[in-house]
Amino acid sequence: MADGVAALETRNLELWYGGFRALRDISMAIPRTQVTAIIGPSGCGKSSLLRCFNRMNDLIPGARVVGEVLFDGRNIYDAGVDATEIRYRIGMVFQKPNPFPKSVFDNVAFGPRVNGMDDNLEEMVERALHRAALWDEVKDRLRRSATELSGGQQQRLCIARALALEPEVILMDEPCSALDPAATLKIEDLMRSLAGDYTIVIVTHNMQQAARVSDMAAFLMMEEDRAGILVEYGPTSRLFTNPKDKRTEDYITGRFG
Amino acid sequence: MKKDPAFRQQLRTRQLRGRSFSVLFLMATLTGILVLTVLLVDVLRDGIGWLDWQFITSYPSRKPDEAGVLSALFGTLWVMVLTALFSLPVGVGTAIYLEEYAPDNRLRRLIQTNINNLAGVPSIVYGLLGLSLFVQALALGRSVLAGALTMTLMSLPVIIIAAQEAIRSVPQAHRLGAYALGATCWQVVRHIVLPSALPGVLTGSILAMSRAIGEAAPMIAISALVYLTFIPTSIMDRFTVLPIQIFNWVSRPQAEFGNLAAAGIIVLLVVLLSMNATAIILRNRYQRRTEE
Repeated sequence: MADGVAALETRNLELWYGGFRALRDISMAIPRTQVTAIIGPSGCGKSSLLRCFNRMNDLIPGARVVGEVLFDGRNIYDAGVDATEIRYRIGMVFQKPNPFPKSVFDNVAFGPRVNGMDDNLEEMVERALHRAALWDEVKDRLRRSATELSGGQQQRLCIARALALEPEVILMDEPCSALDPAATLKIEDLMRSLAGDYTIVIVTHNMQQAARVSDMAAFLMMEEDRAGILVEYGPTSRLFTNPKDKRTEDYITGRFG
Repeated sequence: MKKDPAFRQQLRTRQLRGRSFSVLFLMATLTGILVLTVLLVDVLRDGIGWLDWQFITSYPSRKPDEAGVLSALFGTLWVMVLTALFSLPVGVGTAIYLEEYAPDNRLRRLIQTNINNLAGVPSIVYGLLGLSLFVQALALGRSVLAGALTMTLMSLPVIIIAAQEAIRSVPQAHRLGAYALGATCWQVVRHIVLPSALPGVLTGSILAMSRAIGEAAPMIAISALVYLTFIPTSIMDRFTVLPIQIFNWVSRPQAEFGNLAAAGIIVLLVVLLSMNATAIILRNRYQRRTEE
């Protein structure tokens, strides 16, 4: 892949939690404006890898990154880079919907507000809610608490909250694992409609989901010392139909994991 | 269904034991309530007849008919307000630092252990500390300020612990969500942690202070004054507080002073209960607001 189209690129990335190595030698380039899925068995470091992309691991005491994560041509772990700026440009959606105990409006407006973009808040919020396919459901209850929404609506609100900052990349950490199939379908449709404008990286347990939504897929697994490694990375269609690595094949055909 | 007689027999025993424990626990509960009721009834019977406007608006006197709690009541209010002003910002600030900023290292654990231990130090020790530190070393005299600072020292550990618990109960998912949107640590504290923790912080703080207000021991060390015939008008004035006044009346042989003490206790209880009521009202109001 040419350098110009990678939104994010890791080079020999290692992640340590204290003395425990959670990730080893991860090198991958995530293409711009496509959906990249990270799959693999539980505990292999998928979510840890995802958190490397917006420096959320900084918040975990003892976490340390070795190697590089290139975003916009520079290593986000360089001394001069502010994690706050990275998170402003790279949004994140979590496993469990986590709306703030505030109104729908204030939830979406939170990002713009803390980043000092107070002009045209109304317009920004409406645009983000439209983009997250939630506007019609909440337009009459913007001032009511976000916690009254259903789980699926809450998760789309969290996506809208991330979109309000117009991020270049959106990281999603198993965004549907707490949702029912109907709500899951809506989020998946949303992901497909967002791809093209945004670079999306999604961690998922669900093979079918990865096959349905992603353009690229990365298969991670644990080695004997419990460090996660990148076994195989390539276009989703190829990875699922014609895996090059025996371990990938075993995993996607359900022989282990 | 199994018809095992041994099981049946054992089941009856188990259920009997279950029932007897529920009775036991009910009795434990009733004991506390009963004692409280007896105490209240006794105090009310002794004091209610003496509790009138004259009692509220008079200074202490050698003649029971003319004695009142005016100076003590205002002393208590002064100390209470100043204590709140000092201890709330410092206590909540400490709790925020320890929970949201301090790295989890030796120093933090040392501070935490110290705070936990300080919460258990007898109040008279704080009184003596206040006496030597504020009254003597800092030459504040036996002033309202010295009293309030002593009360602040005494309530701080409890306020810090209550605030820490309130802050800890804010879901981590909310903090992470805010960080992921590019919020700084202070913005997370200001917009996410504090609004959710505020009801708990307020309730804990007010309860800690109402506890302090009822303490006589440290104030006796600081003030030791009973016949005060003026209301403090500045923080450097001398003062007395309700528990000291009550303590003084109780220790007199004449029966009338016993009744005065009971009336004083009623006034103190009203002050304490209204503080607790404030805590409850504030908590309910903020909770409703965060749920909206």
